[in-house]
Amino acid sequence: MLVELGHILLIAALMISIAQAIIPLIGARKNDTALMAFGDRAALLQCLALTGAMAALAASFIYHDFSVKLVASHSDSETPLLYRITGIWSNHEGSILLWVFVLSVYGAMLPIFGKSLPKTLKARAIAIQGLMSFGFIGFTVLTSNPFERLIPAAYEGAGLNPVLQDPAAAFHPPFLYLGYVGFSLSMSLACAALLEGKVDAMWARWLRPWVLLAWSFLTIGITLGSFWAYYELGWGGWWMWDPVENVSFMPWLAATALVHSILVLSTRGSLPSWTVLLAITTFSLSLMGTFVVRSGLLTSVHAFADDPARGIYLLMILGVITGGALLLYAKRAKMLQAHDRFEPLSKSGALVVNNLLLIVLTATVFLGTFYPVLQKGVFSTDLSIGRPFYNITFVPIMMTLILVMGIGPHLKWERDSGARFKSLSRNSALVLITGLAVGFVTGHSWLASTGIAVGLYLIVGTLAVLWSRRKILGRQTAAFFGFVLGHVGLGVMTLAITLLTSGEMDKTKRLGLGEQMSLAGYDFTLTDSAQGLRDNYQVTSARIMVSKGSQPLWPLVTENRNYPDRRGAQGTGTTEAGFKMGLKDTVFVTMSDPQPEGVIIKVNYHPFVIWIWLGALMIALGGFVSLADRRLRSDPKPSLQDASRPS
Amino acid sequence: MRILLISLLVAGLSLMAPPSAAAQTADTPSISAEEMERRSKDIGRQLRCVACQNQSIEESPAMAAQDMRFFIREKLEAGLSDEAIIEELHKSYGDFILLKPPLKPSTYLLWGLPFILLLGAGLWFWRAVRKYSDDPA
Amino acid sequence: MKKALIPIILFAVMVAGLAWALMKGDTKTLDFAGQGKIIPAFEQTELFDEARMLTEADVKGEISIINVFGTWCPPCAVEHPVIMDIAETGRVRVIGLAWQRNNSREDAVRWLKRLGDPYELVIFVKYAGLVSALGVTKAPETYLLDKSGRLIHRHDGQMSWQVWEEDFLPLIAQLESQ
Repeated sequence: MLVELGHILLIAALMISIAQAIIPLIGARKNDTALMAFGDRAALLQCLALTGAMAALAASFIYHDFSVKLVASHSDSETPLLYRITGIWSNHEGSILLWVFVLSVYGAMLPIFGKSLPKTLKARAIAIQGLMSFGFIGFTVLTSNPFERLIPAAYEGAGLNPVLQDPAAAFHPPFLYLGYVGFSLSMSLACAALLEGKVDAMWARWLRPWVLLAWSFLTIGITLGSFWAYYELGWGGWWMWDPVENVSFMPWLAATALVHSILVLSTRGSLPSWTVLLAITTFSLSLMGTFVVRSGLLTSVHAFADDPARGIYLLMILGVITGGALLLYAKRAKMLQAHDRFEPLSKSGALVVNNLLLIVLTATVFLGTFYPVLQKGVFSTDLSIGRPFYNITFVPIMMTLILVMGIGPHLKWERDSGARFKSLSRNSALVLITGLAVGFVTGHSWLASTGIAVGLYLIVGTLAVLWSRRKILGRQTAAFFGFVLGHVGLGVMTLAITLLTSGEMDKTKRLGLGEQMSLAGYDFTLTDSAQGLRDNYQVTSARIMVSKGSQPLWPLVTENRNYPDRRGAQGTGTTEAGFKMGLKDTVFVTMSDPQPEGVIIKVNYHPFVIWIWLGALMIALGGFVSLADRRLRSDPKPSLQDASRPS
Repeated sequence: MRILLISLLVAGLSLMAPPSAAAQTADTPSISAEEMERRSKDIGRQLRCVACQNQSIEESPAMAAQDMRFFIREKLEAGLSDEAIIEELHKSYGDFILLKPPLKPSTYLLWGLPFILLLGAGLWFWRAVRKYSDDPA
Repeated sequence: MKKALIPIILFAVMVAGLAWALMKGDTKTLDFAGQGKIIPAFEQTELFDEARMLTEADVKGEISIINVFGTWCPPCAVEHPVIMDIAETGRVRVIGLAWQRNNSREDAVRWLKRLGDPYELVIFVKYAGLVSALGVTKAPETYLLDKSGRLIHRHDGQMSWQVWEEDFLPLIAQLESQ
C-alpha cells in the first residue's frame, strides 16, 4: 500500500512539474504576479511529493518489504539498518529517485531563499527547473520505476552488494548528488537570465551561493569516493581515471571555473557571456555523467545500468536541456556584449587565465574519457587511456595553473604595475627553487621535486596573501578566508600526491605462521590465519603484527570475505585490507587465500596519503566558509564600495 | 620572507625524507631477484588489467592480473627485455592492454588536442589582451 | 557565422556521436587482438595425468576448439552441457583448458566427473603465462583453431548452441574446405 502511495506521489510530482514548467513562464512573459507565484507553490509542492515518495521507498527497505522488487534485489533479512537505508540508492532505480528528489529540493530553494530575486527571473528559473524535473521524473516513471512490485513476493532478499556495505560507499552518492544535481540551479538561473536578457553583476551574486554550495558538496562526494576506493578495493588506489570518476570530476573542474568567473562578473561586471556558458556547461557535464553511468556506454566498476534504451532516453533529455540552453544562448548572446576589458597584469587577467586553463583541463579529461568510444566506433579497436596519458597531459597543465594561482591573488584587480609583478615573480622563483632544493636534498627525483616545489609554492603564496593583510584581518570577508582555505587545501593535496607517488612501496611474500617480512623500516609478522563465518558472510583472515625494530606497534587484520547469495546462488567476495593510517606513514596489508604452504601477504607503504583527502576536505571547507559571506545574502543593492575593496 | 624560506627548508627536510632503500633489503637475497621485482613492477604499471577498469596489473588484486604478473615473471626469467614482453602481451590483447595509448595516426587527435587547446587558449588570451589594451575606452 | 553558434554546433556533434555509439550496440566486449596468430609454444601438464606433458604440438594437426573453464566460474558450469553436445557431434576436436588459479587439480577433476568430460585432452593451468599468451580475459572463453594451431575465432563468455551454429560452424566449414 505504501509503495503504491509512493508511486502515486511520483506521478503527482510529474504532473506538478509540467505545470511548473509552463505556467510561471507564461506569467513571466505577461508579468502576471499570480501566475508567477504559482511557480513558487508548484516547486514546493513537487518537493513535498517527492519527499513522500522517498519516504515510502525508505520505509519499504527499512521494514523488509520483499514484495517490492527493489527491496528484494538489494537487501535481505540480515542487512543492517544503515545499509537498508543506504541501499535505497545502491541501484539504478532508487538512485534516480534520489536524483529527482535532490533536483526538487534545489528547485524548492528558489521560492524559499530566492526572495530577493526579481519576480520574473525567479519565475523563469523555477519553470526551467520544472522542465528538467519533468524530463527526469518522466524517465523514472517510464523506464526506472522504483516502486515495482514483485509478485509473488520473495521470501528472502538477494542482499546488498557487499562492496557497498560500508559507510563511505553508502554516503558517497548523496553527497555527489547534492553536488552535481545542485548545478541545475546554475542552468536554470542561466537560462532565466538569458530569457530576461540581462546577465550582470547582480545575477552573478544571486547565482554564487548555489554554485558554491553544490561545488562544496561535490568536493566531499568525490573525496568520499576516492577514500572508499582506497581502502575497500584492496590495492590502495585513490584515483584511477576510471570513466565514472572522470564524469564526476569534469563538472567539478567546470564549476571551479564558474566560481571564479562569477567572482569576476560580480565584482567587475565583465565576462557575462563566458559565465553564462560555463553555467550551462557545468550542469551539462553533470547530465553527461548521469547519462554515462546509466547507459552502458562505458564499462566501469561503477556502472549502474546497462541498458541502451535508458541511454537513449537520457541522451534525449541531455539534448533537449543543453541544446535548448545553447540555442537560447546563440539567440541572446549579442545582448551580453559587455566590454570585456582586462589587463594581463591584473587579478582579472589572472582569473581569465585560470578559466582558460580549467577549460583545457576539463577538455583533456573529456578527451581521455570518451576517446575510446570514438576509437571503438570508428576503428573497432579497443583503446585504454590510463594514468600515463593523464600524467603527460593533465598534470603539466595543472602545474601551470598552480603557478598562476600563486601570483594571481596578489595582483590588483585593475592594472597592476610591471615592477610589482617582477618582484612577485622573483619571490615566486625563490620559493620554487627552495622547494626544489628541499626535494633534491631529501632524495627525491626531478619530477617529485617539481611537485614538492609547486605544492609548497602554492601554500606559501596563498599564506603570503593572508600575511599581507594581517593587520586588517578583521575586515576581511568570509570569501577571503574561503579562498585561503581552498587554495592552501589544493597545495596540501599537491604535496601529498607528490610525496605519496614518489615514496610509495610495496612487497609481496608468502608467509607461514610466525614468519615476517620488512618494508619501509617496518616488520610485518603473520601471527594468525583463520577461516570462519560471521554476520552475513564467510571470511578468511590473517593477523599481522606490525613492528618497528623490536617494538610491536599495531596489530592489523586483513580479510577476504564471501557474501553468499541467501537464495543459494553464487556469492560475491570482497577484500578488506588491514591498514593503519597515520599522519605520515600509512601501512596497508592484503592477503590472498591461504594455502597449506602459507598465506601470500602483500604489504603497501603509503606515506602522506591521508593528506590527499584532508587537503580535499580543506577545499570543501573553503567553499562552505565562503558561503558565510554576508555580501552574498539577500543584499539587493551592490555597493560601489565592493567594486573598489581589495578582495 | 627569509624567515619563511628558512622555516620551509627546515620543515621540509624533517618531514620529507623518504625511507631509505637500505631499510628494506633485510630479506632480499640476490641482485637478480631485486631486479626482477623492479622490472616486473615497471612493466606491470604500464599494462592494464583486462578484468578491471583502468587499473594496472601491478595495482589490481584481480586474478586475471595475477596471471599476467606470472607471465611477466616467466618471460623475465627467460631473459626477454621489458619492451619484448610488453609487445608480446600487446599482440595477444591489442592496444587495450596498454595504459598509455600508443601514438599512431588514430590517436594523433587524442595526444594532440590537449596541447592544441592549450595553445589556442594562449593565443586567444594574447589577442584579447592586445585588443582591449589598445582600446581607449 | 555567429561566434555564439559554436557551442551549440559542437554540442550537436557530440550528441550525434554518442547516439551513434549507443546505437552501434556492443561497446564493451574486447575485440580479439590475437586473431590470426599461431598458438604460442607452451608446456603444461595434462589434468588427469600429472606425468604427461602437453605442448603446442598437441593442439595442432586437427581443427580444434579450446574451451577455457575453471571450477571457480559459475557460467562455465552453465555452458558445460553445450560443450558436451559439441563434442558429441564429433565435428571438431574439443580440448579443455582448466584455468584453476587458486583452486586445485583435484577440484577440476571432480568438477568434470560431476558435469561430464567432453574433452579429448585437458590442459591444466594454475597461473601460467599460457593464459596471457592466448589473450584470455576471463572464463569461460572458447577459441577456434585451425590445423596449424592458428587462432581463428574466440567466443567471449558462455557458449550457446546458437553461437556454435551461427558463428563457429560456418568458419569450421570454411576451414574444412581448405
